[in-house]
Amino acid sequence: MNPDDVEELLRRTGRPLPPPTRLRRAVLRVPKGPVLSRHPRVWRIRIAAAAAAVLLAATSAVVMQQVTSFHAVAAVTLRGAPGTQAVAEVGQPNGPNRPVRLVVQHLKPGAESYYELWSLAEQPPMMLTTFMTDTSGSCTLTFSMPASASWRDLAVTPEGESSSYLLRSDR
Amino acid sequence: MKDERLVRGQAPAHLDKVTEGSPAEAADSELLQQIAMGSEEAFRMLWDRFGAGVYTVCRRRLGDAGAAEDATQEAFTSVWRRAGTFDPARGSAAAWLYAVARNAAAQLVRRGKAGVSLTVLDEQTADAENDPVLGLTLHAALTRLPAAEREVLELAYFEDMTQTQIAARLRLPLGTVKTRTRSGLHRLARYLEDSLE
Repeated sequence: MNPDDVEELLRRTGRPLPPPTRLRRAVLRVPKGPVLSRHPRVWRIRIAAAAAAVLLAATSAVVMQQVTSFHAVAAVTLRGAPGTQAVAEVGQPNGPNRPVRLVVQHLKPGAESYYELWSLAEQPPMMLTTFMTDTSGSCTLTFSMPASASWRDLAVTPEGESSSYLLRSDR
Repeated sequence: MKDERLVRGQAPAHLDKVTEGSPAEAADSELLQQIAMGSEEAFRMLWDRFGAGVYTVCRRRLGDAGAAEDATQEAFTSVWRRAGTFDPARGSAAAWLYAVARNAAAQLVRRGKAGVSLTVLDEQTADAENDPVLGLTLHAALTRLPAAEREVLELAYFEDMTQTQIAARLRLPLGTVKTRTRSGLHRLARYLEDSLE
């Protein structure tokens, strides 16, 4: 085949139709399996799922805003190993509950376990919440504790080790 | 949910001859042989070369864009599953791919997808269908050209621009456009000969 033949072939064949980007993505997923269909019904389900996810996220955001919009009336600092710290901000009671915002820093994340926050002033000690930290050892969470429970002596322990204090409030 | 992960079979004996190397430099048939051995990179490279061509074949045969997408995806799923059945002694990679694409389109029609029938869109596409394997080979070969050469050839032969117009569009000296056109055509001819051997 010489260049003249190629010229003629180019003219005769024309430009190929550009495949949609989503088709490229779908095809390149084939080796990774499972194979996904482009069937319209599947797309309707996906769109419905996406819409539900958006609605859920919006609802969660509103709820979170309501939960987290409290005014701290007191704060308790918990300390442990050097650099490891948590601050529990305590809000005004709202009926039987009291909102609490816990901010944890440099608490090494457990591979599969979580941490527990305790009120040690209660007899016996009362577990207030559980949490996990991210890869930097941080987390921020807002939760409710019984308004009648004491928040003045708090401690953080590993999961299932209620007497092993990693962090404890200043007393 | 059923795990539909594709399971690869044992590579045929003729694949023992395949040499390891970059898929970017591999011939079309070598890409298929690397895919048979599980190379996702080769599969991606094959899509980049033949994706548009296979989609075009499916679109021309089915007439419907959505059905063509389904058929193209089916075709490349078959390529991943059955690349080991490709035997370069029996024909070119483009011919094998064309057969796979044609079968995928036909199966879609046989499954009774509403409103889809085998068809050819119009006279212009009918011409291209006269030698679809050559067209598929050409489109794949074009993707292997350096971008500068490919751009010039596409403007000249797909957009019907003169070399002077191309030089103005790309803000290049006319001599550069001529050089790129010439070298691109020669390179394309070489790729086509290699692919159709």
